[in-house]
Amino acid sequence: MAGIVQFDNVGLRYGTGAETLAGLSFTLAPGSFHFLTGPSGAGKTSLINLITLAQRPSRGIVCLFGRDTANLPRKELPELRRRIGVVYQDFRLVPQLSAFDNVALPLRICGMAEREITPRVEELLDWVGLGPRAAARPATLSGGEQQRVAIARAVITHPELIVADEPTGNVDPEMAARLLHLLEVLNRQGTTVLIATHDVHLLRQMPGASIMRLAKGRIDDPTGALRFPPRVSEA
Amino acid sequence: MLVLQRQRPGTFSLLMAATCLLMLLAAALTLALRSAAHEIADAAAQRIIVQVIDADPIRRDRVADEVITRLDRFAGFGSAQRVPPKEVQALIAPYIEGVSPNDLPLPALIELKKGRQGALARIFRDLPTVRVTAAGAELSPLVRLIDALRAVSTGIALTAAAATALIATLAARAALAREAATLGILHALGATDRQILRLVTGKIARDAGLGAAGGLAIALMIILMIASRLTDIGVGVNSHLSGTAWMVLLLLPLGLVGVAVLAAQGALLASLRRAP
Repeated sequence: MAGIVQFDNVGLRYGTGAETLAGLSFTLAPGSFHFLTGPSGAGKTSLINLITLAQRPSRGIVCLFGRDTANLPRKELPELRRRIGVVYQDFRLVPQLSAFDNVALPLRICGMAEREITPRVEELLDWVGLGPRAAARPATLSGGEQQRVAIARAVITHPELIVADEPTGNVDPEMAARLLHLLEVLNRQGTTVLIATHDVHLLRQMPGASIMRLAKGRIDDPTGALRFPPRVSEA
Repeated sequence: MLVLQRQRPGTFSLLMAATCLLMLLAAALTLALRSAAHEIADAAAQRIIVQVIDADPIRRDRVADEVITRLDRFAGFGSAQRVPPKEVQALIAPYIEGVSPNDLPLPALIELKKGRQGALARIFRDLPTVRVTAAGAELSPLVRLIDALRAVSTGIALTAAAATALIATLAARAALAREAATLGILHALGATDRQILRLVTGKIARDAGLGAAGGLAIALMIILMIASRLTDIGVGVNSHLSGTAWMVLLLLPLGLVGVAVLAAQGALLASLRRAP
């Protein structure tokens, strides 16, 4: 079965330095749920950048939705990006837009009519507990609230692939569980989910998810055989 | 999709106003000189003086009458008028101090507003005392001066347009740098280059439009003020700036905004193509 994401011997090098990512080969099947773990500097964000088309690989083949991104004309990239929902570690909200407008942005980019956008955004903001703060600008929101806005923005279009970089890093455990539940629901509906995280509690809450460990730019377990969370000390 | 930072129109609008003002004044001068040059060139090409050079005043008057009769007979020449002898004497008086003009055998002058030197010379071939001269030849240095001024003012107008393009390019690059984070987010969310282009050039078009409107208002005030001063001294500028010329002057700021938008689009496209 063709994967939503297919990496074949992919490498990424910045400038003339050593490869940040080297020899990555893996496939994310449609409807699968993955965690991406690894120490800081292992290359998680670089890997996410490749998947979200923010960067091109230095070598190897990156296929998204069955299309080789290296040979894709530039004008076709936005169409692929619209099929991916991304939650950035630093949220990347547009500072001059309200929470509502930030969440509505992907729908407006897709050209959806305002009358369809409003109820959809309001419903999602209510769901993440930000209904009353819809008019607030990101600068007036707490870190957790900004993260929820970022997650709402990533899922508003019901993308085929959701890539989240530390999506629960700034929210309380209860909200983290709610957000994970949302991603789980979307995954059950067929969305492929990839979460980069250090949060071992998150890994434990999704025992069926595959875990990819990234270390020094290489994946330890590209086959996805490690379908269990790492040992967590109960101390 | 109001995504870009709301900023008060600043330096870019002011620069647009300045270049627009400069361009409109230069264009107004070009257009005014164009019709003036046409008028003078027409006069230069067709104004003819027929001289009857004869010391005998009776014979001179007779030949002059014959010349006017022949001119009236042939179609295609404008009305011929003899310059009154007193006027000729008054013209020459300052140069012959101490001598009465009546004592001089001044030629009879017949002025023609429209005529061709060669054709007239043929008509008066049998009258040896008749000389046909193109009066406009004396105006040719003035025509050349006006042409040179026109070239300079056209150059200034084109330079202003080129400066506008450069300013817009710089403004577009500055907007890209200022909004890089926001535009990066839009790209990541699947915005097309065209959408980004619309956003940034829309803002540049608004600021350029504001500046061009300001430049137009000031330029119109200056042109109308000069027109009124020239009217005061008996020179009608309106006769030199036709309705079409006014239309051109009013449309030029739009063209300038178009130049600014096109230049900005070029700079933006070049930058966007370098993005992943």
